[in-house]
Amino acid sequence: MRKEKRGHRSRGCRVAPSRLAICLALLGNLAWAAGQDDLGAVPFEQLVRREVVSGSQLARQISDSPAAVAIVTADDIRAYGYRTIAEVIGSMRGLYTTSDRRYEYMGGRGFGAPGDYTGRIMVLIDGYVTQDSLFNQAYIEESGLLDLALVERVEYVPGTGSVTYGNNAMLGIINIVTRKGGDFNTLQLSGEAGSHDSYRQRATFGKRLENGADILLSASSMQSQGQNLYFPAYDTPSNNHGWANGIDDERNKRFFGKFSYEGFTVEAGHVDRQKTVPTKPMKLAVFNTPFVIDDENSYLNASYEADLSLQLYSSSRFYLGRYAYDSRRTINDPAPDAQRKHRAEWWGVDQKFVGKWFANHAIMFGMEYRNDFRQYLSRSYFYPDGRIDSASGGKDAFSRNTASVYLADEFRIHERWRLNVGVRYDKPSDLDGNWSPRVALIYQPTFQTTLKASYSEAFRMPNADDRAFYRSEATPEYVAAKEFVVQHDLDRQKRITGSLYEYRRSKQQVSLDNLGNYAAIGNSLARGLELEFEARWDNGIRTRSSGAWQNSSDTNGRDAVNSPNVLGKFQISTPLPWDAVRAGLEAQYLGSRLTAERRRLGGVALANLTFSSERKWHGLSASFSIRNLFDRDYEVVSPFTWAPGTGIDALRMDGRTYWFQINYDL
Amino acid sequence: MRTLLLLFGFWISLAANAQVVSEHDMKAAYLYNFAHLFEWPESRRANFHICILGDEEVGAAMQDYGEKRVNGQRMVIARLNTTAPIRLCDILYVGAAEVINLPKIRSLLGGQPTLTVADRAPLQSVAVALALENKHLVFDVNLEQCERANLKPKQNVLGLARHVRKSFDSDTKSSAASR
Repeated sequence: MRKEKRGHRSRGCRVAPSRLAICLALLGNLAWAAGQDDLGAVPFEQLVRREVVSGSQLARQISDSPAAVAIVTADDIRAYGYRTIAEVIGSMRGLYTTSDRRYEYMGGRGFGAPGDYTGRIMVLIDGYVTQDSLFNQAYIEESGLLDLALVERVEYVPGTGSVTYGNNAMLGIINIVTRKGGDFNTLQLSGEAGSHDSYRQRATFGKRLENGADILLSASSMQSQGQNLYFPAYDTPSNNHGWANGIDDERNKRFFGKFSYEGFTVEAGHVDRQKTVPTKPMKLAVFNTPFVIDDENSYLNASYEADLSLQLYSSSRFYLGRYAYDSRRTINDPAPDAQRKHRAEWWGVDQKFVGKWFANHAIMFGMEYRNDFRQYLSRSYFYPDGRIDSASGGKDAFSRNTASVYLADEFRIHERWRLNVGVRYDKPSDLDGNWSPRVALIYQPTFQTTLKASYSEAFRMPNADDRAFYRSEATPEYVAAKEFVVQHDLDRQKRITGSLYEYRRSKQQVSLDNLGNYAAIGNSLARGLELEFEARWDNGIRTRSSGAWQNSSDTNGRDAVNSPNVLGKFQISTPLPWDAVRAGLEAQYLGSRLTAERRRLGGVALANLTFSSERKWHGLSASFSIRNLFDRDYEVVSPFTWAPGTGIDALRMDGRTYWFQINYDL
Repeated sequence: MRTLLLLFGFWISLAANAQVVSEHDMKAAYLYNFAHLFEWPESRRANFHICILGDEEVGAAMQDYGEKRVNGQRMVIARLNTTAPIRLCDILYVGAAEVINLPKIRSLLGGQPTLTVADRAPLQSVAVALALENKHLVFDVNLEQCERANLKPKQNVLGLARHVRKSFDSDTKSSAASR
C-alpha cells in the first residue's frame, strides 16, 4: 500500500523535475512519519525498553560544510603507507596530483592546469592557511610543513570556501588536523630507508600532563640521492644523450611544536627543503646542469577559544607566516649564473563568534585582518667571474593588507531542514572590495541520510607573482559553484556518497597575442559527478572506492589540459592471520588527459601495497611499502611549452619503489 | 535527474522502513527525562540549562527540546565547545570526545548542583553514566556524586538504572536490577 503511494509520488517528480524540493519534502515526511515519533512524549519506563541503533562507525566530518567531505585518518595513513600530503590527496575521491620533479600539484574538478602551483585550493593546518603570499602555492610534498606521523586526519572539503576563508578558496579546502601529544605519550624515534638512497629520521615527544596541558614536539629530516634520469626530449649528443645524471637529490628538515591548555593553543612549524631539479625547467636553462631550489616555510599560530556564556562562543587567533625561496641554475647566456630570491612575510588576526541566542539559529560572525607586509621577488644574473649583469634581472616589491568581515547563519527551519546562508566581504588595500556569498539547503529525512544543495561564489586576488607578470591587467578571478550532495549510511559500517557539481569560472587571464599581452576575459566550465562507497567490518577489513567523471573546458571552450575525464580509486586494508600485520592495497586510475600540446596521454592504473604492524611489540612498530607495485611506465602532463613536438609536454614518472620504516617508543 | 530522484526515493524508503531510534536521539530523550527525574535545589534562574559538550549529534538532537518546560522553567539548550561556562549548567552531558577532561570538569563544578551525564565514562567521576548494552541504552547512577551536587534522584529512576553506586561505598554494587 505504502509502496504504491511512494511510486505515485516519484512519478509526480518525474513529470515536473522543478518541483524537486517539494517532492523530497513529501518523501521525507513520509519517511519521518514512519520512522520517528516524539520521543519526549514517551514515558521513561517505555523509553528504556526501546532498541537503539548507534551512529556510524565511519569517520565523521569535523568541518561544518554543506559538501561531501572526504576523510583520511591516521589509521589510513599507516595502513596505506602515505608519506606526503600529496599522496593522501591522490587517494581522495575526484583528486589527483601531478609532479614536475620540483613540486607536486593538486588537480580536480577542472582545476590543475600545469604551472598553476596548486594555487587555487587552500591547505589549512589546524585552521592556519599555509599558502605563501607570492604564488598562493600550497606545499604538499617534501616541502610541506608537516611530517605525516603528526597528522591525525586530513579532510577534503570540496566546493568553494571563500565564504569562510576569503581569497583563493576556489576548488576546495584541505583541512589537516595535527595529533595531540597525548596520542604519543612518549618519546618516539623513527627511521626509514627506501629506494634511490632515501632515508628519513624523526624524533617526536608527546605528553599530556595531569592538569590537562598537552605538549607535542617533533623534529625530522629526509635525504634522498635520487636517480639518473633519461629524458627522450633532450636525447642529443650535446645533451649527454638525454641523461641527467646525479642531479635528482632532495633533502629537508622539519620542526613542529604544539602546546595547548584550557582552550589556549600555540603551535609553530618550520620546513626547509632543497631539491635539485633534473628537468630543464625553462627555455634558457642548460640541460644536465645542477639547478637547486630551496623552499622554506615557517608559521606560528596562536588561538584561544572559549564559550563566553552558554550562548556565545568565541575564537581568537593570531598568526605569523614566512616563505623564502632561493634558486640557482645555469642558463645559456653570457651571464650564465641565474639566481632567484623571493621572500614573503605576513601576519594576521581573526576574531570569530558564534551566537546561539535563538533556538533555531547559530549565527557566526567575525572579522579578519591580514597584512602581507613583505612580498619580494628578485631575479639576478652573474657573469662567470662573479660580476652581476646589471642590465638584466629585476626586483619587484609588493604589499597588501586585507580587512574582512563575515556573517553566516545556520537556520533550523524544521527538524529535518536546515538553511545555511553566509557572506564574507574582503577589502584588499590594492583592489576593490569583494563579496563571497553561499547559500545551502540541508535536508535530513532520517538520521542515516543527508541531502545538501548549495550555491556559492569564490574569488582569487592576483598574487604578487601575478602582479609582477600581468602588471596593470592583474585582476581578481571568480568562480561560481553549484553542488548537490547525497550521503547515506546503509548501516553503521557502510556509507554511500554522491556529488554532482558545476563550476563556472570567470575573468581568467587569456593571452591575446604572442607579445605577452593578456586580458582577464576568459570563462570556463567544469561539470562532474563523484560517487564513493566506504565500509568497514568487525573483522578489521576496511575499504573505500570512488569514481569521478568530469568534463571541463578551458577558456577557448576546448577540453581542458591535464583534466582527466575519469578518476578511480580503490583501497582495501585487512589484518593478516594472527592479527600482527595489516596489509593495505591501493589502486588508482588516472584517465586519459591532454598535454599543453593537445596530445592525449593514455589512462594509467597504479597500485601500491603496504604492510604495517597492527600493534606495538616492546614499543616497536614497523611498516613496509611498495609504490607502483607493477612497475608501470607512465607519463604525466608537464608544464613545459618551449619546444613543441619534442615530447617535453609530458614527463615520465618513477617505476616501482620501496620504503621500510621502523618506530620505537622509548 | 530522473535516475537521481529514483535513487533518492529508494534510499529514503530504505531508511523509512527501518523502525529504529538513533543512539543520539535516544540520549537526548534521556537527558530530557532526567530533567524531570531528579530534584534540583531551589534555583533563582528563570531557565533550566541543559549543556552538551563534545558531541555535535547529541547537541543537534537536543535542539528538539529547546522550547519545552521543566517544573515551570524554560529549557535552554547550550551546545558548548569548551568547559568555561559549565557552572551555569543544570545538566551537563559530556560526550566521548571530552571524557578525558572529566577530572577537570569535576573540580570546576565542585559541589555545584549540576547533573553530570557522560557517555562511556567511569561511573565514579559522574552522576550518571550511559552505555550501550544489547542494543539498549542503559544508565548507571552514582549516588555519591548526586549527594555531592545536592541532587535527589526520584525513586523510579533508580529502579530503571542498570547499576546504582551507593553513597560512600567503595565498590559499585548492582542494585535490584529492574530488567
